[in-house]
Amino acid sequence: MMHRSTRRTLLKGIAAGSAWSLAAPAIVRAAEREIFVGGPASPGLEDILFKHIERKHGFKILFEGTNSLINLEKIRSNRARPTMTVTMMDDPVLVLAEREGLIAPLRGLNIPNLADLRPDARPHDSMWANWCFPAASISYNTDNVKPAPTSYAECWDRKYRDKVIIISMRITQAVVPLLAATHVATGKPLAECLRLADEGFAKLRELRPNILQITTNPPQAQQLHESGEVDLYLSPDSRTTLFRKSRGAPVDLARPREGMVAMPAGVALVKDGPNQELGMTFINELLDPETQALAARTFFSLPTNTKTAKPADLDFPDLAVLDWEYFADNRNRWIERFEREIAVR
Amino acid sequence: MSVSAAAPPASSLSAARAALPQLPRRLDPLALLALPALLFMAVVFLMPLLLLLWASVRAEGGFSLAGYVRVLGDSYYIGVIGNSLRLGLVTAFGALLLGYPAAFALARARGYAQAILFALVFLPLTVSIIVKSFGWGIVLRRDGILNWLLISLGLIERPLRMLFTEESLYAGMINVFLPFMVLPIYSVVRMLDPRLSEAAATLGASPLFRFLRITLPLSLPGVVAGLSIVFSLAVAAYVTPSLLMGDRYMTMSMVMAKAFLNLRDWQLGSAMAAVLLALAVAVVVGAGLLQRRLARHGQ
Amino acid sequence: MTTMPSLAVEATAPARTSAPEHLVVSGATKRFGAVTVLDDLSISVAKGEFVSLLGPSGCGKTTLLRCVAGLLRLDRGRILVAGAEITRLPAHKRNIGVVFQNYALFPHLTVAENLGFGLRAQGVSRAEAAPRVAEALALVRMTEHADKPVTALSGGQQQRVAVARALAVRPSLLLLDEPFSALDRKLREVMQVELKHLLREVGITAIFVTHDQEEALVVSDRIAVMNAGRIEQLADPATLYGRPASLYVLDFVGQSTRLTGQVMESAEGEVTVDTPLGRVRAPGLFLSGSQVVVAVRPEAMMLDGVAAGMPPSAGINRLTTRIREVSFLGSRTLLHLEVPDSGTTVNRALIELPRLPEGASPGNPVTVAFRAADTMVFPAS
Repeated sequence: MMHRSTRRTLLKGIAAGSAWSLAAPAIVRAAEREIFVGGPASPGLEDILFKHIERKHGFKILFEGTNSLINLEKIRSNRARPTMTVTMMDDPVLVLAEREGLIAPLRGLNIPNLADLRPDARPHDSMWANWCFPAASISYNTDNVKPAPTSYAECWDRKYRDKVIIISMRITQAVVPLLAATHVATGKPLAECLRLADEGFAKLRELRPNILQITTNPPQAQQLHESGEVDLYLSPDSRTTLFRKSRGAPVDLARPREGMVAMPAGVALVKDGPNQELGMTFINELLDPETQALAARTFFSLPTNTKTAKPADLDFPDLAVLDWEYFADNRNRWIERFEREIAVR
Repeated sequence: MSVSAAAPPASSLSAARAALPQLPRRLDPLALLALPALLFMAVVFLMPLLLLLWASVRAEGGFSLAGYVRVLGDSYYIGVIGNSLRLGLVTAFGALLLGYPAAFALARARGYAQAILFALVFLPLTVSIIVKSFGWGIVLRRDGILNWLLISLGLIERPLRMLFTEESLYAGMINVFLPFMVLPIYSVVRMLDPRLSEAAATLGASPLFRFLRITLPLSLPGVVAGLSIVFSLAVAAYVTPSLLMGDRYMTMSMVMAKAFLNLRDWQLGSAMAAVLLALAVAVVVGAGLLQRRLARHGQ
Repeated sequence: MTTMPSLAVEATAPARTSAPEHLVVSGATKRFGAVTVLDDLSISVAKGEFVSLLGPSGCGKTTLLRCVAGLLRLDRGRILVAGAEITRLPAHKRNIGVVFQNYALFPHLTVAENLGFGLRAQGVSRAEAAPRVAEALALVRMTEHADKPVTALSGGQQQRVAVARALAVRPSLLLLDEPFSALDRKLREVMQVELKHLLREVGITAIFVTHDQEEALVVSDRIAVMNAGRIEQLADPATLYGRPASLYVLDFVGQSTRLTGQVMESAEGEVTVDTPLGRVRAPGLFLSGSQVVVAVRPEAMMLDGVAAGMPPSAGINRLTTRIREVSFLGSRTLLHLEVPDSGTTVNRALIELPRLPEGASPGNPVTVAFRAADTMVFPAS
């Protein structure tokens, strides 16, 4: 396997060699024409998106998919001799990575597409970039829930007793039920609710009779959701729900009148990582309008490059983009509160 | 201490042979055979352990027991410790209830029957808990197999909620750790001389009396070994409870994972780890002492 | 041509018919799969009698013992003890003591606890059991070891504990399965006598299982020689040795000179047999021309010089051959004599002498004499 891919890389390297003004002969570079990317374990990433990039640029992407915090831990433990070039993580984790000096800013690097991103997709003065905005609201089972929910408040309906799964606060998507509860409690717009989230806990606590599980195992929750055991699932984002819908699963993403929440899909350069040039190429390609259109279709999410032609059915009009730094700063406290007030039996 | 905590199966199984003669005090050269394992454990277990213990008492500007105060002075964390202990005990004794007869069946079976029984006990080990968690979902959900069965048999009228309940967690934990109960008991029972029970019978002992006074005491070393192994594993379990129950049944290991991974709170995580270790060591050492007593005095 | 076991009992031990029959096994049959281990076997043992079940491994002796103890169920047949049928009773309701081959002492208990086990199992209170345990300890002279774990005992001590444990519940019958096989030869001889004495003192009925004919001869009142699930002969040691009922028994108990031959003459209860070493006369009823085996115990044979004083009557057989080998056994000497075909047939000749005569060395010619009355004839198998 290793042998085969190396040879394939080598041939590609020779084929694509002219695209690169490199001092060393292509055959020597060939061994190095691969980068190690850490990121989420989402379907479509390796088999569609990375294949596209590999084909286009002729280098090999070694990918390791895991959750953001474990990804961060890996970068942290290899700080002295980084092996990873690019990391794809949630913004709140990138906030931590930035504070610990584990990532290098993208501004000023050779990433031309950066300039075309919508401003809220270039957090912290282009410290990193959001390569897409998956949307999250309520995932509902289309067999059991008719008509589709039109408001987050419906989750509190007693008819959903033991029929709701919410995601553990340790996973970023858990922000949605928290915002929903805060919105129901305060009536404020979703985007403002993040800063008021502590006022939402009491309301979230009222949801407990409906909560079947607080999951740290989203695939299992998704399976139960699709089987009809769970009517509402708060909240896998469009990457999961719409992808599964496209595969025929009886699930859909509700479009509540209060709007949807933009989930952060960030990409950053690991500080002092190997093959920085390839890393820049990789990131630039992720932000390329053509690739973004592919990514939007693949991941059922909003493109962030303003020049990308938006696929019509993926136009999420009311997308609340959150202050993930605030989230990062308060997350630990919320994890504790969540555990003690919501999860406790 | 740490070494004995790390190697309960070996020491307890060797102690399982009844009535060991008093060992001489001086070191047997054969003990050198344990050296590679000791060195290995020192590097991969003892050193990280010491670092962990150090982290649990380290604070800005020196030494602090604040981590322990946070763990032991917080009724929530006391509850979490209670959860872990309950989970450990229920799993250990549940596995004993199922595993004890299974170990006998395994020891008495011959040929194909034994091979099949072995497979039944040990094949589940080769199935990842992640895969199992999906399977249990299918079995336990409202329109799942178990509810269907109970309704078909007329035992219940409407489906019961079984998923993500404490009972389903216990069942899953017992499933996962059962082999660790069966194996030590099996290895003791296998060596039991069937003539002992026959001798007891010829002395007028009823089957129950024979079991209580001969079979049970002689198999107790295996039982104690199994209980301490399963308890140690179950009390520290992380993956199974988080998959089967999620955040609604927090265990010490889940708190540690949260502290190290999410909160980056080394003080909390290492203090919790130290408490867990202390509990596990207490159980293993206690079990070791119990075994020595059993080996000497029998009933 | 085996003698019916029940006939053998009456024929060889007529005196015992007056003693009450304590254990009666009749028609016992036991199969393991296709193998018949006990084949319609019957045996009676009188009260207070010591009987050995003697035979090679696989002859069914241990199976019989386990059936009597209740550790195995008979396929067919009945077992009675003191007139009561116990065929279907489980072992723990039979009150039959067993001393196992490896003693099967309870390793987690002390000597005293082992001895008290049966009493406690039968519901005797600790207080009541104590004096009986002490008594049993004293019986086997183990009082000072009462609180030792049994694993700390020597082989001989373990055997004594095993016997005392079985006796402590005052069983109606004691079964001993190769009780001396775990002991070394010297100790075995001591323990055989000691155990026999002890059991006699207690007055218990005992059945020994053994494959060692010497042991059987030492400890038993009667010996049942078993062969393929049947009793070949049941008799007291002297009868068994002097009047074996079959070649099998002759072979299994003691040594003998054996010569194959053909009956030349048969008249008035006496036959003349043509053997490779010459003609031999012996008491017996066989048709002329039938193939037989002539057997003589080695101690019944004399060198011709010794026999010279006897009248040269028809009552003396004389054979001439050469000495093949001399075995010096201390108190006696065994001469192995040359017999034609001795390498390929059952033929062999032995003579036992109290001391080594002069000139008795391999190759030297020798003439032996023995009385016709001491000569046995069996049909050739």
